[in-house]
Amino acid sequence: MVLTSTFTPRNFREQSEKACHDATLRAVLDHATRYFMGKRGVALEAFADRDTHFARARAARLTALSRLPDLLEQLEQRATAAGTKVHWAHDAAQAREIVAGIARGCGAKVVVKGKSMVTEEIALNPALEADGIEVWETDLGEFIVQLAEEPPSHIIAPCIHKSRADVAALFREKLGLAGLSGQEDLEDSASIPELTLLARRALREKFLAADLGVTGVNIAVAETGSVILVENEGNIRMSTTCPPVHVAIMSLEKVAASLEDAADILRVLPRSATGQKMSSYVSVLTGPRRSGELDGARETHLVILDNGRSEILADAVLREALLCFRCGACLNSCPVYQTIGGHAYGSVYSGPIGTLLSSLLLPAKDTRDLPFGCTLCGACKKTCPLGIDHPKLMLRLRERVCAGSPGLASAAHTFLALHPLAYRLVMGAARAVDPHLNLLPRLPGLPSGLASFVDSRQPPELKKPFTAQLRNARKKRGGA
Amino acid sequence: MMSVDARQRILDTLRAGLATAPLTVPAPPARPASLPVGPDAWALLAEVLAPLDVRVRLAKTPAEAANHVADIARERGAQSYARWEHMPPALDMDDALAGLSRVLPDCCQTLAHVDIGLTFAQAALIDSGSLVLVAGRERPRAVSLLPPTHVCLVPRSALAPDVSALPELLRAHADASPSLPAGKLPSCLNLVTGPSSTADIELVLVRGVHGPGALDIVGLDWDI
Amino acid sequence: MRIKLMIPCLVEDCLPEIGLAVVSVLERLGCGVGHPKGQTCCGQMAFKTGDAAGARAQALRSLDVFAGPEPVVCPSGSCAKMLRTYPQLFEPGTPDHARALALAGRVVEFCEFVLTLPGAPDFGARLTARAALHRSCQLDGSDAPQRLLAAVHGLTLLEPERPERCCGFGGLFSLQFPAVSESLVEDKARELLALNPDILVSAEPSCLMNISGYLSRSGSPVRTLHAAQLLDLALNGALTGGVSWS
Repeated sequence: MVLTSTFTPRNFREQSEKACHDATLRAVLDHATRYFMGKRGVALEAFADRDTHFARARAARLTALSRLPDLLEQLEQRATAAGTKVHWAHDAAQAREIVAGIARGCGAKVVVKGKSMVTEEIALNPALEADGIEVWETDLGEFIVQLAEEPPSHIIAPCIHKSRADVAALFREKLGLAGLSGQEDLEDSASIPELTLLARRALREKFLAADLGVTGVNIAVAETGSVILVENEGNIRMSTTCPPVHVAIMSLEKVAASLEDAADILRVLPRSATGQKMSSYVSVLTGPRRSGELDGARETHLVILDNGRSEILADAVLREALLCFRCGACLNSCPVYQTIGGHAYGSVYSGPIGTLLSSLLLPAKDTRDLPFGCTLCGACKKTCPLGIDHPKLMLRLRERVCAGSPGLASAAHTFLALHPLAYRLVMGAARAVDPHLNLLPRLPGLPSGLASFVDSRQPPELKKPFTAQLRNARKKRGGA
Repeated sequence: MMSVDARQRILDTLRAGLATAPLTVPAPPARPASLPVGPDAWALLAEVLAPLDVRVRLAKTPAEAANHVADIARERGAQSYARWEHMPPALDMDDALAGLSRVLPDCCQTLAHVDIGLTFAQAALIDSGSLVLVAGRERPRAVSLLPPTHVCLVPRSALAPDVSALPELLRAHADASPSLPAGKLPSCLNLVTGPSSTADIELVLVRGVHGPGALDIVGLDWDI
Repeated sequence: MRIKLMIPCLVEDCLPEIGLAVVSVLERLGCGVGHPKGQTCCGQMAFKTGDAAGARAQALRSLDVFAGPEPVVCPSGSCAKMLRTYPQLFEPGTPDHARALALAGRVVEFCEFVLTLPGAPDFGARLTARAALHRSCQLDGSDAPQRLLAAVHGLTLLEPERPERCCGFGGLFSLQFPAVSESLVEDKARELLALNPDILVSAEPSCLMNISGYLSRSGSPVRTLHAAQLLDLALNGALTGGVSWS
């Protein structure tokens, strides 16, 4: 994943420590995560047979994983029979090359994109732009972060970190937009409906001029060769209806065996994502437009992207991460995400599921800190409608990072824990020389965080141990 | 060529993964039975759509339906409309909209300048308030998408309980296809649930970002 | 009833008064409390660092330390959870796995255990105070502390706005991400103090240490007590372990 920003998962610790001191960011995050959790809570409260529907959605996703290679072959066969050209991409570079090839093939000059995490993952835009193509993100939030040259900060609401004044400034400076009447400059005080209408007008032109529409895929149905796209704005419908060519890019786990499984997923996904009973628009697309039809893409492509996912299927614990259908609920529920936001994670996917996916998909050396940026509180697991046990996976990832060499401090701790006499001696000595733990945490060899912990917090005081106190009390009582 | 290699490589890795760690799926609980579509179905549909600012007007006769559509056009201040060719029988909407110019929905460019798009739903899902629009030869997709107001006619026979009805609906509209066992599904089916909306800027809800900002439903409450 | 007491390392050396209150309450309620020798750490540190081998070695020790038929009662949800996690560390079908399973089945968190004693939950405990409860995410949604403390006469039990939200400790997390951890405990303390309590109570010693550290740094007079200490005070009118209550 190439990012247009300077954030990187390698600097996750520094970035998150910095982010939590940003008061504006924290206020926005607090507002946004409460907004989503609130809407979701109301929707789930009124969701009859909720747990049964959750269990069915989980089963649909599990079924997909359990038959993944067969289902992908079936999807390829049926999509091809419906007239869609199917492509396979082993990694991001291949996927970019495939899409660029399609764009060259149809002489594309303008590309419109629906919101898609996977196109962020493969860094598609710079690749197309390098070919001289104009690429427009058309989801309002994505459009705004594209203008700001930033990555999205939330799966569902990519620009929750931007205020209306920020947006007005971007529209004025990057698009040269005037106010609604076209007479005056666009003011920072422009209303949100006004800004939205301006974006509608600007992007309407792009949709009508576009040669190619690119979207992700929420669900691909193996038995029918269909792709299902879920959205609220209508930009994905526009991207698949107006341009003559449509390319859908799916990460390979997004398959469903049957229409029934897809319907089970659709029952749950919008409710969990935005608290809606159904998103404004769900499109089920099967092949290109048929003869006699007046609109819709004449040429449809489906790119099946691996980019490291197939390797995960061999790990019975970690492959649970592939169940995710990106509702974003775990982000909103996570106290760490609520505090640091999406950018600090330094990759396309953030929050609990992002930690898991980035750790699995990116080079191990870049993601060592990610699984440790979690208090293991389990709010994500409790929230996940698909029953993903994020903390369990987090621990598994920590095990991979540790890889059998726990480091000096941890090894020493284990040694002491295994030798109670030595343990007591060390604790006793520590209590004798530094009961308030002002000095010992600064010893070389110990994790650097220990010292900063002592600096910013009040370390616990070492007291006369419980064992000794209990023995004395019992002795006294016995003697009395 | 590269992608042929990729295909094999991906499938091989997936198969090896499942061989290493087999995955069996426990049988899920049975899908809860859908609520029956009863006499209160219109009321339920109206109730679920009300928070989305969608009004459901009920017509007992084709003439009433035409009046509703004319009212909507007037209220929205519409000057032009486009509609699906393929409409339920006995409905002459052109008469109802005689004061407006009718535009043929031949392409997106044309529809971008039309005030009202008139369609009809092959199904309406009461649980979520979703209209099911099956695109086709005389039913262009963009009619329900580009004009700022979408008016959708919903026959009583189209009322269905929830999204679990979707697979059957899709199959009912499939064409025979020698290469597809269950037939070839329609090129596009849209579930439309309320107007186009966004809350991307400061989480403030705005209707009508890319699609229609207004959705009006006319229920055709007679046997079609 | 005889039980074995599992004392978290944090309680052993930093919060011994919690352990003493646990013993006092359990004995008062008629339990014979054994405190097996040689307890150090349950292996949670190693486990959460990703050191599976270290965790396994420590788990093996705990299997020996806590061998026997009695329930193992622990005044910490997170340590109790660690003991229940032991089976994960061993190959199914091996003797160690079987022992781990047996121990996991005997481990009970303190509040859960007290609720199983005759007369529960109303033991005639009495304390007139406003207590804000921090549920602790480590108890995995158990409502045992609420049920137990709600039965204390005179006690007004208050719950903050987001009762299960993490206090930001997370062990290793607070060392590696001190500023984020501090932000989280700040949120937690603010929400708890908004209830205007006399006491802040929790069944999780590590959360208590984290929150009380923040409170004392910010000069708050609110006392923090473990559920066992509150119960001890409410049953006996005084706190065991030389801690004064005023």
